[in-house]
Amino acid sequence: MNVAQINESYALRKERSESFPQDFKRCFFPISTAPESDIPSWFSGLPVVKTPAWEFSSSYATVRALKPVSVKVTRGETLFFVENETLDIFATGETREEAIRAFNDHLIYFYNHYKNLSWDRVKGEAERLKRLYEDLFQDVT
Amino acid sequence: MSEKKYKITEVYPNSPLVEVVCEVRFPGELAIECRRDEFYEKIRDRYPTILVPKVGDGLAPYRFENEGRTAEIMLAINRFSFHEKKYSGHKEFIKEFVRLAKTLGEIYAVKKLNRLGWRYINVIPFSRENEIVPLQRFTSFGLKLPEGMSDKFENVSIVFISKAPGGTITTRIESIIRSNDQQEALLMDFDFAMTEKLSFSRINPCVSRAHEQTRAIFENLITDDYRQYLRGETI
Repeated sequence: MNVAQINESYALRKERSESFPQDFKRCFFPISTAPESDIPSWFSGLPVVKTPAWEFSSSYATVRALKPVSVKVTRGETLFFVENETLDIFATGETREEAIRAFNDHLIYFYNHYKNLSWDRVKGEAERLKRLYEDLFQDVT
Repeated sequence: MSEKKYKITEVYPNSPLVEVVCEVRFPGELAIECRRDEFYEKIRDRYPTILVPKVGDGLAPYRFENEGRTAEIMLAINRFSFHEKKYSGHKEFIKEFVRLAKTLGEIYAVKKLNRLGWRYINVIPFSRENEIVPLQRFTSFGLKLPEGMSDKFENVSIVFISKAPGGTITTRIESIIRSNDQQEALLMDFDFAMTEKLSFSRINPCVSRAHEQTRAIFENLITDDYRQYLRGETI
């Protein structure tokens, strides 16, 4: 689903919720607690967003994390950046979707790489990453 | 009875709360309009910024913000609310709300309450999984759909009002998108309204009950996987 399709689904939802038969009214006027609370402005003011992710798919494989992976997404002047410091993965893309796809590709690549490395060939940072991938990730069949 | 999955005192490091509100509504009290300055004098040390309502329908609230713009009071002739955008946990929140409500009660003749509302507004940023909104990652809420209708939602907007002990709860679950960078999020907004057994003189237990009920709803609605993320148990 590309950006245009996602935006289209929001536009469609808006259109459907606003479309209403003439001479009818919604029977739905909740007396809300503090209806003035302004959620959209808060959401638009947040520069960096961390999202939890559990599943990572590429065209050839899907990998599942047993603990949520905290994925940081930021927008630069021309690119989107997606990263996770613990896994030492950093990916970019011209769109959010592209950057996330690149992140997933890197994660799956490193998962397979470390899984296939024998323990006697890793030490230090590589040992830490192998343990992490072995203990906390698995293939989705 | 099953063991509780959370402690009522627990404040999550990765909390999705963007705002917590507690509000009381009462029969219109015109003295609030005439002697608003008296209330302001009592709170101006902590909430110095005044936001005057733009619409002049008489019921629109005046707002008083703290310097960091993280906490706010709203005051109108028939309602009073306290808001926190950086939630300090329920103990501190209730303590401050009760302190402010008592100040209100000392200045104006507010005795009867019509409604007490506790609202949790959560914004949960997400990335799509296989093009769908990964609702099941975050919430146990589900719709039982007939055969042929997919529950792989590309977009979600659900609002319902349900009966709850002592009042009603309005639940809103909706996917939202930020225009500047296409970041999507799930809006989970719970508004518990208590309308029975309310008394201004017993405001503390009423607020505590509203808090406990709203918290329980949130906790029952989220998945264990997401709770793990909220606790900071992440990679």
